[in-house]
This record gives sequence, structure tokens and C-alpha cells, in this order.
Amino acid sequence: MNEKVFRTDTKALVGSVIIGIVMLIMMQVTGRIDAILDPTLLLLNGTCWAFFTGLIVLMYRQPAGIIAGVVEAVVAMATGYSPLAFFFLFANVLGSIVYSLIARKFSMEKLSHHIIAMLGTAVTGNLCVMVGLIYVFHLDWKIALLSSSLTAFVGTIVAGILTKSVYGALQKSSLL
Amino acid sequence: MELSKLDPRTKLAWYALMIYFSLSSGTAVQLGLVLVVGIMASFILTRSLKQYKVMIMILLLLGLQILIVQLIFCREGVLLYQWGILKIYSEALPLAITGILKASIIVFASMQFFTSASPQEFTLMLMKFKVPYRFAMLVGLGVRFLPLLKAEYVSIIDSQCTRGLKMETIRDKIKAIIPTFMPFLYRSVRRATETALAMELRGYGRSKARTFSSALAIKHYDIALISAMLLVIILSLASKILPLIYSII
Amino acid sequence: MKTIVNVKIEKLVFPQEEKPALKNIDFEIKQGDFIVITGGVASGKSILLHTITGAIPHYHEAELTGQVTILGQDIKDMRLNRMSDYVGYMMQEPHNQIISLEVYEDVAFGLGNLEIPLHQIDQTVKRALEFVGLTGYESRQTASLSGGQAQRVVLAGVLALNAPLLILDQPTAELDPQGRYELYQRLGQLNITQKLTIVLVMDRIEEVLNYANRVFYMRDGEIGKECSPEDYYKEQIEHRLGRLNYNTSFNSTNDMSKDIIAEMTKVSYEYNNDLPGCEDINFNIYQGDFLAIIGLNGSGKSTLAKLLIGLLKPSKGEIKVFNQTLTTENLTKTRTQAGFLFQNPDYQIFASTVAEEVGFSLKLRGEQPEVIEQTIDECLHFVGLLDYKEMHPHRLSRGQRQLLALASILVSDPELIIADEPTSGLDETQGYMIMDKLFELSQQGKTILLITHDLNMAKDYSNRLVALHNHRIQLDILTRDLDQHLDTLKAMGLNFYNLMSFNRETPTSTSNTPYSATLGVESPTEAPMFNFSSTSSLKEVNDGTF
Repeated sequence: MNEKVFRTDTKALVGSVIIGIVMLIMMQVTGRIDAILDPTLLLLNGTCWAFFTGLIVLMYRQPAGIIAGVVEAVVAMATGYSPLAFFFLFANVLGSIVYSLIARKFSMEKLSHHIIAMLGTAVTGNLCVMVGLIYVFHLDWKIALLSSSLTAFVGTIVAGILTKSVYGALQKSSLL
Repeated sequence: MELSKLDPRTKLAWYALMIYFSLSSGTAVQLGLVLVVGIMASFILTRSLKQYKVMIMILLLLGLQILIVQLIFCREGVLLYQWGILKIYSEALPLAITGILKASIIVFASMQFFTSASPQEFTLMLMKFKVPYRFAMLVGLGVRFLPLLKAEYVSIIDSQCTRGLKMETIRDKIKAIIPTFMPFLYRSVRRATETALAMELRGYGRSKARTFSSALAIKHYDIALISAMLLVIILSLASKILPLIYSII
Repeated sequence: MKTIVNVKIEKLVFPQEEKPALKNIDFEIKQGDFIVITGGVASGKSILLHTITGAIPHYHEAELTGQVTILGQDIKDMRLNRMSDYVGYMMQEPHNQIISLEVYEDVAFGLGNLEIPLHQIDQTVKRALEFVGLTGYESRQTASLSGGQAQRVVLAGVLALNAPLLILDQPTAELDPQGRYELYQRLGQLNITQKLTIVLVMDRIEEVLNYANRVFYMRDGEIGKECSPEDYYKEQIEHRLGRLNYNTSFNSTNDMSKDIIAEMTKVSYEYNNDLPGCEDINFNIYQGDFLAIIGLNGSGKSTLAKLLIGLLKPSKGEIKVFNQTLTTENLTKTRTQAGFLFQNPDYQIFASTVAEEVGFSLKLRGEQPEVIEQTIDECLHFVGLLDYKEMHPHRLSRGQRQLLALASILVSDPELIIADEPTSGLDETQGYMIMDKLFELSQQGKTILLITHDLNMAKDYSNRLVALHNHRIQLDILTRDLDQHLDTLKAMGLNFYNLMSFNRETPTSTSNTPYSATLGVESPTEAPMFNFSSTSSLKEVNDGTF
């Protein structure tokens, strides 16, 4: 067992559920803004997703990252909030695992570490959504690829910076 | 026989069946049939479809989106109409319709499954799948905290608004994300820490087993139903894969 | 008597901090002790409790020099989830400690973890619920419980585990006076009849002293002194009498000016689910008022405050603040002149330093950096947090965070300050600290609107009282005329007779009178709800303890 990857204490488990719900609520908030600004690209939503996927892993490691992702997707499905939630389920789980695997190799003290980890997560997650777009909505693959790449790119940069600063603030607060 | 009296594992098999059909069926007629059967099942077992009302609007919006995207980008079939760079092909509409139907089945089936049993039943089901209770019991925790956290976020927005934060235009709303999200995050972490401590001091995870106030007992008709559904999936898969194998041989 | 806990802490230091959070602590807890811990802001009360429950060092990282043993075992060597054999612990914020969706499941939670057979769980849950007075609540949804009920459910869950030592952190913070009285009486009973050892951090000094046998006063992480409840009580009375004189003079001398700051005319508000919020509210707030709005939970106090600041729009009637009808356009301007202090300071803390947090409103308004800097310092100085300027706000104690919230309102230099239950979740000392600051602001000419269910504070600080009952204003009086309206208020469930009221008692009589008489508490008329064998009366409990 690698301590940088795993953590199964009660604090991490309960935290994963609660932050998973926080993620859901923030996804809803950003989703509503996207619906007006960029209904097909979902830049804000994608960034929010990437940010949480990374932050939860930094806060509580695994399996908390996976649990939070499942909580977010399942509640989104149960409440009928997002039709794509079924694909979020895979994106959430895979994205979280990828983040863990990359973050394990770094000290996560530099911005570049955060950007690299986020790149892996954003690409994985958007790949899942892309498959959904092509398979379920029969979207042309070139269009799906373009939209997913753009979301992944923005997500990597913005979410990378955000996870670093928010995680730093959390550490400073000594709440973790 | 009510839906809630079925074993959650039977419901899970049903969910798997619906998802399988939504992904494997190709024509609008097949997909439509699957959706109707799913809705009928809900109606027969619970006598009410009220809970699905929320998804209608969302699906309509999504449908419109898919339709527009297909009309603009679809390049299959024959060219029907051209205006400048906008070209509409004959396959756009059928593709949009099957897309909407597939999405509808997935949304409907997911909602049907995840609202069909109590959190405790899901916990017990997970434990039947050998998930340790420390993990399985998190289901109930999620359901318990969802409304609390929602209400809390509203209070946080109110609180920041009285300090002069504006929430009117889209620009305002984007700017408001951080000042409303950070208190929410801090509060939630604090809450998680306290809840976990309270749980642990009441013996959470002390040993591998735990007494629950109810248990799952799978009944004969559950076993029959699960077997039948699995059989359908296997047969259907076989009918698709076997010809492929033969053709290779 | 058997020693249950032995605490020897040379010092306790949290990571990244230099100053020890606890130091030079050395005491024993004997079986049957009822210890009350009190002290000022950030004096280390809750941290001390954490060291006894094992939360420190198992849960919160800290470097402990010294040893804490429970029934002879070093806490360091015990797993946290085995502590339930020794300690029951109830924290603040009951809703964070409720895990299950139904009351029964929640009380049974710990018992289930101990793998107790189901039929036995049934009995214990039933008995525990009976003891806290919640028989028949088994299948109630925990989400629908009021704060007080939630607190009792948590207590039932803790008591069900039957640990020999019970630790409580401000156990009555969410209860009204009657509920508080009942809870302490039940704890007193358990202490006497079951020899249950109790250690608690006190929120209100009143009732609990009837049952306690030791009082610890903490200061700067040390137990400054230990005294008997009698001595502590006498000291507090003198302290409070001083405070009271000081405030009474305020009540009588403040002549009301006739400048209207805000007025509500025939205002009604209905919530979406057709629940009434406020009905037909007519009243004015005058410049310089220290107006207290009192009423039971759900009487519409908070709705009224939210209407006033434009968080809710009235379904009928008109609201004018600073001579302007509230509209979406002037809302931002109005809010710069009116500050709103929420119940929970954590709802607004988002910055990484205290200074940044306080400056938020100014930054939103685009003030000059130098002005911001200076105003921040002034406001932090006023609330006494200037030394913590660069600290992360969440490292402050709850009371300090409430002061921080006050400071972040004061930077805008508001004319009107609306405070919605600003002392909830705080103990008495911290609560009075907040109130004193509001009082000081009132002396500087600010108008204060206080919403509270704490009748003591309403009476001590306000010059005018408005009582809400069933969503309507039932009474609008000057506080100095309170005595003429006591019966009317009592009929609304606002019993001022029941308060610890020093102006009706001569201070000299306190030393000889039994506490129950001095405190003005009446014995409850209903039969005791608990099932744990004894029925000894309050009087007997007194005799037994002293």
C-alpha cells in the first residue's frame, strides 16, 4: 500500500461523500452558467469537474476520489439533473485514478506538478465524455474531438491553478 | 407485488438490462419500445410517474441541442438543403431521434434504479457484494447530507450578498463563484471532520461485522427474474458475437 | 472513589504553531465527578475535551508531552473506535453528529457497531429515547428535527452506549431555557443514580451549577483555577450585577430620536410552500435604537430580518430603508449602509487571511488600497483581532470568527446593523463579548436590530422590544416598561419570569438561598421522563451534591 495513494480512515470516507455532494452542487451552479454562455462546450462545467476531481484526491486520496466521483454521478442521475451523468460516472472514476497515479510521482508543491496531473485527468475525463457524445448522441467524431480537446485544455490550465491555490488555502486553515 | 418489495439486486439486473438495450439497439423503433417497456414497468409497480416529471424539461432541452448539432454537423445521407455553408443531410433527423431516445432510456433507467430502494437497502446490497460496511454505509450518509448542504449553500449566498456581492448578471455570477464556494468548502470540510469523529467515537469500523436493523433475503421470484434477465443479455450478446466469430472462421 | 481519568499534560502543540494550545495541566477525574469547564475565548476548553476523548492525538495531529490515561490505560495506545467503551462524547452542532435518516437508526448506530443483538438494541434505543424525552420519535426523519430535538437525539445515541464517562461540549447551545433546565436535570440524575462521571464545557452558568461539584476556569491553555460551584457562582453574580447596572443606565437614559431609519408598512411574506413567513408587519426602526426582536423558533424573526435587507421580497406591503423603497436597483447601495451579522460566521469566511476577509466588502466597492488597509486595521482593533491579521480565519475559535464576521461588516461603516442570533453556538462569556461590542457600537450612534431567542440578552441590552408570535407583531414596547407586559409575553411562550434575574434578587441573599430559588427556575410540573430508576427531586440533588 502506498500512503500517497491510499487512505481509508473514516475522515477520508466521510469527507469523500460530503465533498462529492459539494461537487455536485457546484457542478449544478457552473452548469447553469454554461447553459447560457456556451451550452455545447461546457467550459466552466468541465473546469469545475477537473478541479474537484483533483482536489478530492489531494485532500483525501483514494478510494475517496472514486467514492466522491460515484456520489456525484449517482446523485446527478437519481435527481435527473444531468442526462450525461451516466458517462460522468466513468469519467469521474477514471479521471480520479489517473490523477492519483500521476500525483504519486510528484511532491505536488509546484504549479507544474498540478498542471501535469490535471492534464492527465482532463484528457481522460473528456475522452469518456467524447465517447458518450459519439456513441449516444451520434455526434461527428471530429466535432466531438474538437469540443473535448478545447474543454480539456481550458480545464487543465484553470483547474490546475485552482487546485494548487485552494489546496494551499485548505492546508493553511488546518481544517484537514 | 410492489417495486419496493423486490430485492435491490433484481432492480440492479433490470437496470443493467435497460442500459444494455439502450446501447445495443440501433433503430428508433427498438429504442422506443425499450423506453415504453421501462416506463410501463415503473407505472405498473408504483402507479405513479410523478417523480420523472423533472427530467422531461431537461430531456427536451437536450433533444433540441442534439437536433441543432446534428442539423449543422451531420454529413451522412444525401444533401437535402444548402444555404451558404449550412448543409442539411437526410440522416440528421433519424440520428437525432435515436440519440435522444438513447439518452432518454439511460436517464430514465438511472433515475428508476437509484430511486427504487431505500439507502439502507442499497447498503445491504453492497454488503452482499462483499463491500465492507464502512464503505457501504456511506450511501445513507450521502442521502442525509444532500439537503443539508443544499440549504447551506443558499445561506452562504445570502450571507455574501449582504456584504455587497452581486448576483444579477452572468458576469456577477461567475465572479461570485469563488466567494461563495470557499466558505462552502471550509464549512463542508469542518462538517466532514466532525461527523467522522462522532462516528468513530461511536465505534464505527471497530470490527468487520455490524448489526443492522434489517436484512436482505432474496426470494424465489427474485432469483427467477434475475436469471431471466441475465439470460436475455447473454442470448442477445451471443446472437451478435457468434456470427462475427463464424465469419472469421 | 475510583479514578477514571488522569490527565498530565506538560504541553500540547499543534503542527505549524509555536504557542502550546494546552500547558501545565494536571488533574484527576474521579468516578461520580461532575466537572464544569469554563473560560474565555480560545482558552483551550474544547481542546482539553479532545485530549480526553482521544481525538487528540488520534484524529487531530498534535504533539503531546505528557500522558492521559483512562481507567489506567494510556489513550495514545487505544484505537479511537474502541473509546466508546470508556467515553461518550457529544460535540456542538448536533446536525453534524446525526448519521442516519431516521431517529431510531441514529440512536442504534453505535450499538450496531458494537455488534449487539437486534432485540437488545431495540430495548436500549427505546430506553434512551425515553430518557431524553423523545418517545415516539423512532421513525421520524432526522432532517425534520429542530436544533433542540437533534441535540437530544445525539445525546440518546451517546448514552445508549453506556460509557462510564460522559463528555459534553456546550450541550444546551441549541435549547431554550425549559429544554436546558430539563437536560441538566437529567444529567444530574444520571450523575447521582448511575454514578455517571460527567465533564462538560459550559454554555450558560445557570442551571448546571446545581449539579456540578467542580469548576475549572481555563485561561490561555491552562487551568487557571479550580473552585467550587458556590464560589464560582458568587463571583459571576458580582460580575453580572456590574454589567447589569451599566446597561440599565443605557436603557433608561437613551431618549429616542424620531429619525426613522427603516419602516415596514403592512408587510407580508409567504414562502413558496404556502408557509407564512410574516403577516401584516407594521413597524419603524428609529435612529439609535437598540431594538430586540424576540419570539419562539419559527415565529418569523429571521424572515423579518431578511425582508429588511432585501434577501426576500415582500408579497404584500412596502419596506423603506433609509427613506427609500427597496428595489433591485438600490439594493446594493442599501446594503452598504446596513450590515447583516449572520448566526454562523462560517457562511461568509472565504479568504486565506483575516485581513483579506475583512477587506472583502471594501474591495467589492473598489476603494483605494490605503483606505482599505487603514479601515481593516481599525476594525480589527475594535474587535480585538489585530494580532491575528495574517492568520487563516479558520484557525480562530468560533467566538473569534464571530468577531471577525462583525469586523467585516463594520468596514463598510453601516448605519444599521442587523444581527440574527449572533450569539448562537457561543458560550456565555463569548456571547456577552459579542453583545458588548454591539452595545459599544450602539453608544457610538449606530442603530442595532438584534434578533434573538435569548431573553436575557434582549432584556439587558435593548431599549426596545418587539415580540413576534405566529408571524405577527404582538408587542412593541420600551424595554424599561417590560415589567408591565410580563404576562402577555409569557402567554406567547416568552417567559421572562424564568430568567436568572438579578434585579429582583438582592445580591446578599444569594449565599444562603438554594440555587434553584436564586435562579428563579420553577420545577417542571410534568412527570420526569427518564427511566433510569431514581426519582429524586431537584432539592435532593442539591443536598447530595453539596
